Order: sequence, then C-alpha cells, then structure tokens
Amino acid sequence: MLLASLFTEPVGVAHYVAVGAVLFVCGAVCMATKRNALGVLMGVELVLNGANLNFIAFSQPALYADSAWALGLDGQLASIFVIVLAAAEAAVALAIALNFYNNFTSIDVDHADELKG
Amino acid sequence: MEAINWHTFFFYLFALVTCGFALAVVLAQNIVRMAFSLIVSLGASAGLFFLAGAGFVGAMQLMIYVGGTLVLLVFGVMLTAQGPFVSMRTRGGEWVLAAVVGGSLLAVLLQVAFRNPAWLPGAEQQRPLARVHTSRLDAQFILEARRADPKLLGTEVVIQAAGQQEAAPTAVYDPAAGRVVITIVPDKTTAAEVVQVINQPGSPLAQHFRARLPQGHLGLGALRPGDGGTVGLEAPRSQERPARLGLALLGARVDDPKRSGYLLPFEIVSVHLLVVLVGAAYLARARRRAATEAQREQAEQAREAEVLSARTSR
Repeated sequence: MLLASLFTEPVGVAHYVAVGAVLFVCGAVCMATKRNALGVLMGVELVLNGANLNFIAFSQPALYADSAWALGLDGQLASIFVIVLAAAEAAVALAIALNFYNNFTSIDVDHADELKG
Repeated sequence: MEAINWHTFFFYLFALVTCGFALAVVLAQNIVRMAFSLIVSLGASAGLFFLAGAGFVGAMQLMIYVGGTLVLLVFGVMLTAQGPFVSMRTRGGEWVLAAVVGGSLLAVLLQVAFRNPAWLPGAEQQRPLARVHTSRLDAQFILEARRADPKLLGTEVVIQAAGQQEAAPTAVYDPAAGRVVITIVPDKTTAAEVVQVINQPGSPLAQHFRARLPQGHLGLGALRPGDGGTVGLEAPRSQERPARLGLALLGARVDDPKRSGYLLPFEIVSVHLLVVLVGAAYLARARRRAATEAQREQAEQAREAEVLSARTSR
C-alpha cells in the first residue's frame, strides 16, 4: 500500500535535495575516514556531485510547487562549471598524489606529515 | 488504483542506485571497488539529471565525469597500487566518530530538505501536459499546460461549430484573453485538417502549441460530436535547450533576456582548466625527470668505474 502510493505521488525538489544530501554526507564521511589519498579524492567527487544534483533540481521549474522559484538555466550552467571544476581538481589532486607516491612510496595520507609543526 | 508516475518510479530507481553505491564507496576497504562504486553512483546520478530535464548536463556528466575523471582516477589507482588489493584500514574509533557526525549531518540536511514547502511538489504536477480532446463540440476545455509552460496557465480552448458553407477550419489564439478558438464544421471537418491548420508554419498558434493526431484509426474521419481523443493539443517541448545553454555561455540569454550571460565565467573556467592541466602535467612529470637524472648519474658513475677498472686491469 505504502509502496503503491510512493510511486503514484510526484517528486519535487525536496526529493532531489535529499539525494544530494546523502551524496554530500557520504562524500564528507569518505574524506574524513579514508587513509588512501585517492579515497579522499573520491569523497570530494561525491560532494561535488551532490552539489551538482542540487543545482539541477533547483533549475527545473516542474519540480517546484510554484515554478516562479526555479533557477532556470542558471542552475544548469552552474552545474556545468562544477563539472569542469571537478575535472580540474581531479587532475591536480591526482598529480599531487602521484608525486607524493613517488616520494614516499605510499599513498597513505597519514604519512604526509612533514610540514607538521 | 492510480496510474504509476513513471518519473517518480525512475527517480526512486536512480536515487536508490546513486545513494547505495555512494554508501558502498564509503564502506569499501578496497580502492578498486571504491572506484567501481563511484562510477556506478555517478552514472546513476546522470540518470537523475536526465529525469530533471537537464539532458545536456547529464550527457556532460557521463562524458566528462564518468568517462574522463574516473578513468583518470582508475589510472591513479593503478599507478599507486602497492599490491593487487590495497587496503588501508580505518581505526574503529574513527568509524564510530564518522558515523555519528555523518548521521547527525544527514538528519539535519534531510529535515531542511523536506521542511521547505516551496520545494515539495505542487498539486499542479499531477496534471498531464497541455492537452485537449475534441470530445464534444461547442464545449469549453481548460488547457492544462502548467508543467509545460507557465505562459499557458489556464488557457481555454473553445471549439465552435461554424456555418455549413465554411469549408476550412480556423484556429485563433488570443493571448490576452488566454483562449484558443477552433472553428469546425460538424461532420465535415476532419481532425487532420484541424491539426494542419494549427501546425501551419507562421501561424500564431504554432508558436504556442503543437497539435497532433493520435496513432491508429482515430482522427482519420470527420469530426463528430462525441469523438474522443481525436485531436491532441500540446505545448511544444523546448528542443533547443543545448542551444540555449551554448548561447548563455556565449553571453546571450534567450530564455530570459533580463538575466546576464556567462561569457566571463566561461572564459575564466576555460583558462583555469588549461592552467590546471598544464600544472598537473608538470607536477606529474617532475619526479620522473629527477629519477632519470639520478639514473643518468648512476650510469655515468658505473661507466667511470668501468673505465677505472679497465685502466687498473691494464
């Protein structure tokens, strides 16, 4: 019964934002707990993707109760910039990670403590 | 039983895959499995983009994110792997702390998401796209166009019977009054003629609506009182969305001329991407050059030692 009503009701911005929130929290926890630098990088990707999903949801007028609130094209453009930003960030972070691996023969972020103190 | 809302169905499907594999990224200990879960999660979120009507961004997500960035990540995994299955265990206490912090953050964010009434779906979403059927003559139909275009809100479609001598049907749209008047000759005008008149290029009605004939035998004969589902009127779907996006990136907004374009951010981001890629290439090759220098030095030393040993043996 609950399942049937779940699929007949329309979804709104709130549902998309909820998925974005789950992605954001997963990414944040991933960044905090992973010791592999590439795992931290994947956490960043998840966080950026959550933000992207929010932008897309905010851009669509049909998802709002009142379509005057929608961002329109601005939301999609912002998410395109986020995608480009994520690509750039991944390239630089990967280069740093490779450099770090070449220097320390380890990818564990806990070993990167030379700048400490 | 009500009909299944397929948007909702596919939303839950993609949302489940996205969230489930995002959770798998967090919980997996093996970096290769994490990368795979991330690929699936990002791909499913591209499906969510498509569902939200952002087809171009969804395609970009698939091409750049899933096709480019993650391949880069997988290369990173390959280049830094210390064994076939690398795992760096997180301590148990950290897991507990992360679960507490993450869980409370998630609870706050979900509450915020569902608190805002403006973000919840409105009643208007349950209505179909703009569509009117000539089910009865001389009747008034409300065109339900809210989802398709806010401009069409509450447009009335009036179908009038004209005098017998008039052969061609006419269709007039009056935006000020918000009504479409279609004049037909009962039992003589065919639905195809009505569709042709409405869709005629250059007619003022064609800018706002697109009429269509349903598949099958309906609509081939003359219109009669009681004909159901003969002519469908719907607001045209905006097909130029990528063009609008591209124009907005070049500084021209066709969707809303009052808003500004994105030429400067686009240029900044392009230069940024270029600089970042040059920087990444430089960073990635710096160490290798040092290694080759060290190797060259080693080789030179070895050669000198050889020469020395050759001299001493002579």
